[in-house]
Amino acid sequence: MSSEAVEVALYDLGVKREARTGFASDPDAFLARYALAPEEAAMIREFDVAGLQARNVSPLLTMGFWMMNHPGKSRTDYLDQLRAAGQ
Amino acid sequence: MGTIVGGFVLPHEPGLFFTPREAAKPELLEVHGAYDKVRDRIGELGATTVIVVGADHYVLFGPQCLPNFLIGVGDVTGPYERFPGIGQDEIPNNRELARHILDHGRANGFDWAAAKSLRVDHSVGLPARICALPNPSVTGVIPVYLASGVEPLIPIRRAYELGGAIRAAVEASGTDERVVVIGSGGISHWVGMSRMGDHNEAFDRMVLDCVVRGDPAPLLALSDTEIVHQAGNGGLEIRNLVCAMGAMPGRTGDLIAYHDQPDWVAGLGFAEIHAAA
Repeated sequence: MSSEAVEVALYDLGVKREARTGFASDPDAFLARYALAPEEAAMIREFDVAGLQARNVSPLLTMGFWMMNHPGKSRTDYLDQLRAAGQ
Repeated sequence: MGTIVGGFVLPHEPGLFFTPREAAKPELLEVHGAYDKVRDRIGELGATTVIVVGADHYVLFGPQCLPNFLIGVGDVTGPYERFPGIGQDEIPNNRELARHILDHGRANGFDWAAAKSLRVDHSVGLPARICALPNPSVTGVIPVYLASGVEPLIPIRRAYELGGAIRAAVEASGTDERVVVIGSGGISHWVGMSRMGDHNEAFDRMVLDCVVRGDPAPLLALSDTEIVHQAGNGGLEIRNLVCAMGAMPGRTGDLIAYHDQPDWVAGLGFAEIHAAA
């Protein structure tokens, strides 16, 4: 239960195809592999990149996670969420 | 004895290279022209080896292992990302000189991390393929990565000192290599942050002015907090530029180009550092 575990999960989702496949098919089962607090898992599952950044997760990881996993894969949508959250 | 015959600072913004050159707008062609200038100058300098100092973007190295500074001493491929017309296969390394830089550094207080096999990202792969390898004189590209994008960061002064260690190692080598050092990094840019797309031209030009004047002091005085405030998290990559300056201490240079367009993520600065004092 740490931001480090969040970064490990996001790193895997950014660079590993098998992680992306697993997350897309069963997010909860995939996220259970990591030492995540329930709220951390929820933020990943819900693509809450603003919330993740508020917990000091690297923006490099949140953007890579979004662009490689979010259904829209839109940088504009990504930035809109951050800006709406006042980041 | 090896010789550092020149240095350059340049950006590595990947978005510039997703558009095929034949489809590029005039402002993008101007940026490509700056890369061409660097390429041509490397050839005119008769460089045999190019050392590219880049930044990982949390792609090559994960949270489990984040090297402070790393050198590729074995096989090298890349870039990791696909760009139209740019290969991803082997990048010839100068293994002998790379290993010498590692050994010389470790004997003199610079404990390099080593990669025996390395697939580089755009920060090293693009300058290698666009500026270095098109020159027939260049037979090897040595990749160096600094912790300049991902926490914990290499202290900026240590990045400068590492440039000096690279220079000392090159000059202590038993070869006649003619070496160019490239510091690869955007200047102001907010990667993955809400301000992504903003630039700070005043900051960018201040950095380039320091490079051209051969004066690292104003850059070494910047705290990371100040850099992020003025130039975003991507601005932390100025460590790579500072490392190149450290390899050519006190040397002055010339501005090649500065470009700043709303569509681009970073302020794009190009400069040459001359070997002659």
